[in-house]
Amino acid sequence: MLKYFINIIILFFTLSLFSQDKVKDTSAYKDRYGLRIGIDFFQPIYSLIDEDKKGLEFVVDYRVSKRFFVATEFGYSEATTQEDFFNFYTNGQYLKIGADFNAYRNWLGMENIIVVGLRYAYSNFDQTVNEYTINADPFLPYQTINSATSYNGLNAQWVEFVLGIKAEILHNVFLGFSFRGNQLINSKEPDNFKNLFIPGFNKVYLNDNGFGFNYTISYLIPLYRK
Amino acid sequence: MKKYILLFTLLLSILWSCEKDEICLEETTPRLVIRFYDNEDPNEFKKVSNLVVQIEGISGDYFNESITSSTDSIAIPIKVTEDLTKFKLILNGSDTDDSNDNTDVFDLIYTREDIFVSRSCGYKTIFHDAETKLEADNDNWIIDIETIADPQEINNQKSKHVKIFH
Repeated sequence: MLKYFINIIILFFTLSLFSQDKVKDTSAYKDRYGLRIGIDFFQPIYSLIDEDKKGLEFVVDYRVSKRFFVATEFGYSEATTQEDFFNFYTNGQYLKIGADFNAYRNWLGMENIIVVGLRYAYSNFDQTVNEYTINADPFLPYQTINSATSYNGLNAQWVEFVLGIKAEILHNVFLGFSFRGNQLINSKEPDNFKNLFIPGFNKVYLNDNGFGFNYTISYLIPLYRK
Repeated sequence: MKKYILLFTLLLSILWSCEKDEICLEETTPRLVIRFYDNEDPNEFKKVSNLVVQIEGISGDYFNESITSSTDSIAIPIKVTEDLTKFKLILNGSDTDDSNDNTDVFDLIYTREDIFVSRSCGYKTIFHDAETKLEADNDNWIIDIETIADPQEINNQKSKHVKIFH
């Protein structure tokens, strides 16, 4: 047992030695600050495979300090969702505003990012129930009811927790991926239906949470150095 | 770069493997709950022997756990696409002897409302202003039929909706 303790102590010492290796003299190097503008390329490609889902999202972030960025995403989305007993169509637009923290310590001159971020998001949208089948005793014959009932002027607000990466693959060009955990704050629900899909939020699960992701390609417009 | 591609693929495969995880647990379209009473002593239940239930327009006998060889309480489906369901209750229909069968027919008339329940359950129908009407024949085993309330709402199957005296 003692042997392990000693090993662990040695390990800690070694680690602390490593941490001494930080480059201290950064005064000569100045970080680039600028506006990064991009697009989610996953949605346009995905809509070629699955024509029930369409959407476009733009992503913008602006560096405000060494490790912080203000960030926004906005776009529109339309989706037809097929469930066991009904089928509905959602379309609308959304806006997300928040901040990103870069959890990655770069080597000098590199600008890769491990994103830890938070967003406030808002969406307004319409829902249309295309058709449904009454969930009743299976002895009764099934009959699909083509209702085409529309619920317009709905909205929702939620928060997103963002985890992602952005890597500079070419000069000023970044490839990014982010995963988002969403929690609904409030939503204007339709009468006799529920917001089961919200643009930007995606599928709304039972306890009002959901998840999303994007794959982005973006371009950095350098503005100044600091 | 290789590392990132690996991470991309990994995350993508995780996300795509997500599937529906919700099961329908809520109550859906209620069935008609009938209790059978003794015509001589209207406060006492009286069991029906070897009952067979049929619904006009749908072929076959209707079965569920409430319809046994001797029962005083049954729950049977109501048509959700029409405002009238014609039920055939056949006394002694499920025994081997055909000569003692006695078919009585009654109508259930109502208005319908479709209510959204949940993602996994979809929509249910509830029934308003339900009324019953017994068709007279020359040998009715059902003496009288009545709804519990007037107007009778059928929006759950927690308690009986219709009394049949025989």
